[in-house]
Amino acid sequence: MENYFNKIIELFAKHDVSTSSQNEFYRWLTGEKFSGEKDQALRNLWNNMADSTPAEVSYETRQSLNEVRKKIRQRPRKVNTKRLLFWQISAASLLIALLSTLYFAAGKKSANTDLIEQYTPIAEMTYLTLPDGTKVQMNSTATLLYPEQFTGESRSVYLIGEANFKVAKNKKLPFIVKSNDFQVTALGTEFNMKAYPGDPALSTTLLSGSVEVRFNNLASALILKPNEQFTYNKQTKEETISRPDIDEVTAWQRGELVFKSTTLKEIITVLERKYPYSFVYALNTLKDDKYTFRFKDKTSLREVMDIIAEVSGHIKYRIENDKCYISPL
Amino acid sequence: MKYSVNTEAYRTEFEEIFIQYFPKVKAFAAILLKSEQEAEDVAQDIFVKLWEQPDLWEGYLVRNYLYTMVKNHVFNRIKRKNIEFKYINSQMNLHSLDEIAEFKDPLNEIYHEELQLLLKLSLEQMPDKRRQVFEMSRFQDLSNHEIAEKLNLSVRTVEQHIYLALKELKKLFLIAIFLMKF
Repeated sequence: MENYFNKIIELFAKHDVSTSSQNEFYRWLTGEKFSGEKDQALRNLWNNMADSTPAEVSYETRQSLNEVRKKIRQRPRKVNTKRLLFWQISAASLLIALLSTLYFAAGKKSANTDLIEQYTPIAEMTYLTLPDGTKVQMNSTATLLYPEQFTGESRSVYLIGEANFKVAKNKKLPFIVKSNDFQVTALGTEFNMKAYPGDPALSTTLLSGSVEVRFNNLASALILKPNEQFTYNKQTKEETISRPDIDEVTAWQRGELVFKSTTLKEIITVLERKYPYSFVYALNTLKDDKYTFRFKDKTSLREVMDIIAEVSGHIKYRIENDKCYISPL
Repeated sequence: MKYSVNTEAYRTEFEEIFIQYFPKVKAFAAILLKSEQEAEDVAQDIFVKLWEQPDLWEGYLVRNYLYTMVKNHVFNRIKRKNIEFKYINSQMNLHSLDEIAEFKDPLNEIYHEELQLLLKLSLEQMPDKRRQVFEMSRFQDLSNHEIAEKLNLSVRTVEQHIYLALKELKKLFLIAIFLMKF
């Protein structure tokens, strides 16, 4: 997949493209989505370009050097302590960015073995043990990519969706779960991670041990304490740490459905993962009212919808084949 | 700081770095901006800034720093271009992407935007006629007969164009899918 990103950039780099493709490429390139992957692909392009040697210095380069020298002379003098301080600060933050890049690059290098893709279909859960003994429980429609064998300096996996990780202890090899521009690093610990592409927010809840969370294109990082939940909104870039009811966070692992002041639209998104039905409704049918529900394991969709319809009081539903139609009462 | 500013040694060191990296920075910017002049401006601005950052002149640091700088400068220019980022309403849908990718992969949906752009860029590399036939067939849903009539070609030629287009695209997409590194 990362190759899609490399391939797009390679095609753009090598060929003349139409204005419309160029604009579309720019929109894509500067878009927030998958910015980590795009950056990596740009970095590959950069790394594949050769440095120059003094022997091959061209007339143009000499001319550019002269112009740069001229610009340097024309710049205002900068012997002012305040500005120096500012440079120190920006140099320090740059160093942090570089270190995190290094760190990320080191993680990348490690996974050259074959990757295994585990997909959990709608309405199912998957339990699996990774090559290092880490136990993973995956929620419906989640995808996990992991190497056949962990090699290198870290154990990296890639998650799309929600899963719970009981990480096998190994202090020397950090366990890293990546998801777009978000990653969680653990040594030996248990945590829940939720990163569905359709959801506006990503979240990680630590059950025991400690983890480091990197977000905002890996530029920001913080450490979670047990029972803390970190939520990161992809659109607004807002981050919050809360202490949710752990029982609710892990409810899905027991097959339970828990909603706490959740809108009907959000509830339906979850139901669509949990039950093999697609929902058909007009957006304006669903009001923004928030509801709290708790359903036991193995509750049928009919039972769930009966209760939701009754409590909400403004919708009715009907199930036909694999569709659930919702309409105003 | 390793050097005192603007001594002979300082200038020599800067010049060495300039000669080693300036062409690369400029070339990288030119690839993305598709303009020599803009790339020259970007590269010059970056090296003017680099002059006052001797702490970063060391080999590994300078390479990363220059990458970060050139990327940021290019992105800023792109954003300043004020391009009307309209979605070009190509009728490429998941179905035609699945056809080319040859299987329905949950990831196709996740990387829908990437696949679309890849398809668009690849189509542009094809001979005009072949691209035209393929687009009429797959995005405008015309039958081979209709295309043949409109373009004044034989149905056989239309079929051949579609066959070759699909073959080329499949090859490209398979490479992208199966060489995936991570």
